Amino acid sequence: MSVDAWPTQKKFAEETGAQFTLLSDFAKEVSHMYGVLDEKAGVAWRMTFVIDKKGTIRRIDSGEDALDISGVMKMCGELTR
Amino acid sequence: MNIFPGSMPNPRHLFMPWLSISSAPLNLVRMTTRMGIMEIHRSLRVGDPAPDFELKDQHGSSVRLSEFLGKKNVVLAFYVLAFTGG
Repeated sequence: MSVDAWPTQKKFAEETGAQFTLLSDFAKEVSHMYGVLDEKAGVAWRMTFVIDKKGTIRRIDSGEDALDISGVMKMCGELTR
Repeated sequence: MNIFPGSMPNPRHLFMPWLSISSAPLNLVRMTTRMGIMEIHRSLRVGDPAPDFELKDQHGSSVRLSEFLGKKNVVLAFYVLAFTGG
């Protein structure tokens, strides 16, 4: 998810071959709601949330930590077990 | 506005008569002051319910987070901008 418009996400998905859903938060409301919006720059910070089937947040990685997906993968493994 | 990053107590657990709790999401509190109504977002934490939203995907179709309730776990990754390596 980013604050890019959805046609930009479409192009981005095509170029990167992303096999997952790319969401467009063009209005920046969701980024604001999740507390990840940099108000000055008008973009979302890099942040990853793992949400279980009950809708509860189980893991949050932010900034440089969010580049390493091993923790997210581990949590997903635990949740699907 | 986030003046208590990561440390804002949940007003539901405290008696704070100057804080009125908005219905949802949980991390939003409204404070009524002489200056008017102030909204404070406290950082989401592990164990909090994920606020629901509806957004368009890369095909232009709407996706609602609550569609996945009881069905799938969700990884929600915010990134800075497309085509920036962010």
